[in-house]
Amino acid sequence: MKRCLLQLLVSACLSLFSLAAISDHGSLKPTYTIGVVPQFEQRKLFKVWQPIINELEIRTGFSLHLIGSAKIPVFEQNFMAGEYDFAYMNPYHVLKANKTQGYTPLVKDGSRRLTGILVVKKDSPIQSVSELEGQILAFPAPNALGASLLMRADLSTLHGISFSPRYVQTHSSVYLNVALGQTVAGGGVLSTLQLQPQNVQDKLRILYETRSIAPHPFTAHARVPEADRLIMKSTWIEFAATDRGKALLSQIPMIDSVPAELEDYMPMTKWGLDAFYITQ
Amino acid sequence: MKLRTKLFALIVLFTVVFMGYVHLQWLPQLKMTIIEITETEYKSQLKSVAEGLVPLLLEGQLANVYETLNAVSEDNKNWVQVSLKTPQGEQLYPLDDLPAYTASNQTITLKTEVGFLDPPLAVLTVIADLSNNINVADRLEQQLGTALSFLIFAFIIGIGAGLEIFVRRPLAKLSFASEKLAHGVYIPALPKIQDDEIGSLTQSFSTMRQALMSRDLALRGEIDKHRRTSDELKKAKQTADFQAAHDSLTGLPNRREFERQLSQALKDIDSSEEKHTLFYLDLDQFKVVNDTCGHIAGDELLKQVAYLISEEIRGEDLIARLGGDEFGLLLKYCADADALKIGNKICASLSSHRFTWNGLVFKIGVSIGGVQMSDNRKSFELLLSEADSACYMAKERGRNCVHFYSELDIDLTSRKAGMLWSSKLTKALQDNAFILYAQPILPLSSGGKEKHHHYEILLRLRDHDDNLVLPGSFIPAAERYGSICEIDRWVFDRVVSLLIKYRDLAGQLQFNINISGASLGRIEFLRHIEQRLTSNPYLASMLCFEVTESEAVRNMTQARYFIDCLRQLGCSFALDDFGSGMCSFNYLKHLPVDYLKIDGSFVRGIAEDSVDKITVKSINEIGKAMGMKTVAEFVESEEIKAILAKIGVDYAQGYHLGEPKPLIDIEQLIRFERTIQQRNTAER
Repeated sequence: MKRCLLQLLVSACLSLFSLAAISDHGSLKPTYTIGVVPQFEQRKLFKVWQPIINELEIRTGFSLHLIGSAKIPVFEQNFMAGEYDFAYMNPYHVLKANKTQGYTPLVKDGSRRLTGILVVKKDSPIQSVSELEGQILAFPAPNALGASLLMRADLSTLHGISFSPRYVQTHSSVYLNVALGQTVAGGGVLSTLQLQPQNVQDKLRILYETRSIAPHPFTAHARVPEADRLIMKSTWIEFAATDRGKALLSQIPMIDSVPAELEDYMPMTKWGLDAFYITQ
Repeated sequence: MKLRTKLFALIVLFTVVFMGYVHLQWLPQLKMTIIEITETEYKSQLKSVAEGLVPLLLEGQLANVYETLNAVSEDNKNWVQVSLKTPQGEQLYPLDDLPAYTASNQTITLKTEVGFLDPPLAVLTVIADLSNNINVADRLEQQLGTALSFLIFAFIIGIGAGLEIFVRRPLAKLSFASEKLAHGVYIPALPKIQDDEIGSLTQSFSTMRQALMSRDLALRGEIDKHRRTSDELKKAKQTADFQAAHDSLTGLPNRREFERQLSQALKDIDSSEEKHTLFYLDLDQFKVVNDTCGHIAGDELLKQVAYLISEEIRGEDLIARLGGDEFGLLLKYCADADALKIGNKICASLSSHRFTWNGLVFKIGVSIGGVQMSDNRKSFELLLSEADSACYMAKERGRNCVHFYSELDIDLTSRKAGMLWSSKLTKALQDNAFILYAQPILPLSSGGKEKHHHYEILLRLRDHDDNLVLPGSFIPAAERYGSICEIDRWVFDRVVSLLIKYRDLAGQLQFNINISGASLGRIEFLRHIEQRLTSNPYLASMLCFEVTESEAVRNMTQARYFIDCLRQLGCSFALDDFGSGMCSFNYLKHLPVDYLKIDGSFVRGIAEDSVDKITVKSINEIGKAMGMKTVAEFVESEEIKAILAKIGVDYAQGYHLGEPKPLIDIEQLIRFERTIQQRNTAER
């Protein structure tokens, strides 16, 4: 008798939990996680991204959760494991994410293209890439797309020069190393160069630019329903059209949000970047 | 310098030294320490930064290096310049060229190597501005200075107040109390006794003061006692001095003092013109008063006399009591007539004075002997002896008068001779130089009494020149020198030896023998008489003892006893010289005498003076009333005899009735008496 009563009580509790779960689900509020490539240090990242996520949450009616990651390799492991429902990542990541988890781009910045640049000291006597043969060159990180992957691929494959890369973690370090003459040249991207203090920029000269590709897209995992992907895409673009949207999104940076397609990034597959990708 | 000043100076000195030390030594060191601490801290910070830069530099993460150094610069506002250079001197930070920074004494340059190997990765240099720290140090110094000043001030106030309250004030109080103590004041309050050194000092002082006070009080008491004793002694001495120099009864100077002043007065005489007069005064009736009324009355009389004499003399004169009823009077720079005048005034004053005692009234008088004191430098004794002689002369001349001593004075010569009576009388007794005389006492009413023979025995002295000397010359001397009793005895024995022969005349013959006052008191004399009368009983009726009124009164008790004893044996008694000294008959009651002999001074003038006559009459009546026979003396005429007879006086005695005749043979005496009586009868 006693046992019967306990069983009844347990089953009643379980039914109650089930009901709650059903009612939550039944409120038509899908919950998604959003991952962002750690291009900034975390605090800045959340500062930039949380208002956008909040806005999107309201506008989409989804429940959105921003998930940060400490380092780029961790981020890479996460999206390749399909941890994120939505993710903002670089073009090279898009290819890998699509290939492993079926991530597809939703929106991108239509105002620019991603191009790697090679800077030397302004008063440097070096005038061509070939003069860099055997030199130590500074790069932010091995897998940094524009500044490192594209540049190293270009220099090696297109110009056939050999050099010693020195990874100095950040774009700013690259520029400073070059500006202070610690390395003769360094790889970066235009946008980061333009963000450098004027005195740093004044000491640098762009020697070479790589082939360009569409910049970072906001992508969706294949498991996200098509309807929700569309809602997210349209909502984003709508939001980007607002002043507030422009202001917030320019911080990403995504000056002009336009729809993105996987095809926008496909040319990169032919550039043989994988050979230069260093798994960490 | 006072303790307060000293303490103040000490505290000020201490403060100055302390504050000097603080400002010159301690605070600068503090500043240096603060700077050193800051420097050490900066160095340590710099080291940390350098260590943090090592991995960044190794990896070429210059951006992080910049961020770090920017942050460091941002965080350390005092780090005015932070620079990082390669060992080769290439500047890594900041990007731009460093502005030249002039090092001042407010900045320090700190350098540290980045990396642990040689050569290092870079050298980090910091120029730090220490002005803030210095300011802080300065402020701290200032605040510390102020705080210390306040602290020191409070400390000084505290110490000062403490010293003032716990040390100086108690000490000041103690000092004040000590000062007062030195002047014998014990009142000042002492400090409250605390449990400290001052307290124990106060306690000791208090104990000492108590001890001193009690000792002082005891000493004062002792001194007071001594002072009182001394005062008493002084008073006693003054009293003794006064008493030594004065007579206690009259308050007049005594004999010694008189002698002293007299000697002084003698010395004061400078020239022969200057003269003093010495009076020797002797009261005439003092003995009567003294004997009649007692010595208290005598004393009173002396006082009155002293007063009366004092009233009559001048301020510079000196009156002294020389003893008994004798006074000495020194009249300074006064002689002859002036002195006589004063003497007479004294006599007049005293004779007009009546001394009253218990209803009795006495007439008194004074005999004054005077002697001139000139520069002839006689001794006091001699002067007094001369004055005494003159006084005696005055008495001889009828009393109550002044007599001046004179070398030429015959009376005085005899008086001088009288001064030798003492030895003369003794010799006379040995040599039987006395001669008995007898004067008949006759009855005025001749009623068949012819056969009764009555005589008064009188005494004469035959001197070495074979002159007969009357009793008036030697009896006073005899009385004075005490031989009167021997004379009385001699007379008695002589008379008795005569009467024994006439035993058969007992009842017909009666002899009156004069007994002196001195003999009345001699009990052995009484016993001698009694013995003689007892062995010869018939003698008693033949003897009648005459006692003067004054002698009887003076020795009343003895006289009464004497009279009673002898009357029991059958003797008769007569009261002699009645009326000469007294004005009272009161004593008669107490004196059981058989005869009353009326004093001759009344009888002599009875024919002329009615008062005398009345007096005699009164005495006669009183005597009769008391059962006595009356006898009149000094009957010198028939007229007197007649008057007396008429008055009723029983007996008469005198030159008119029979002169005293030497008593050699009684039969011859009786014969002679009869002759006289026959002659008298014939004259009538």
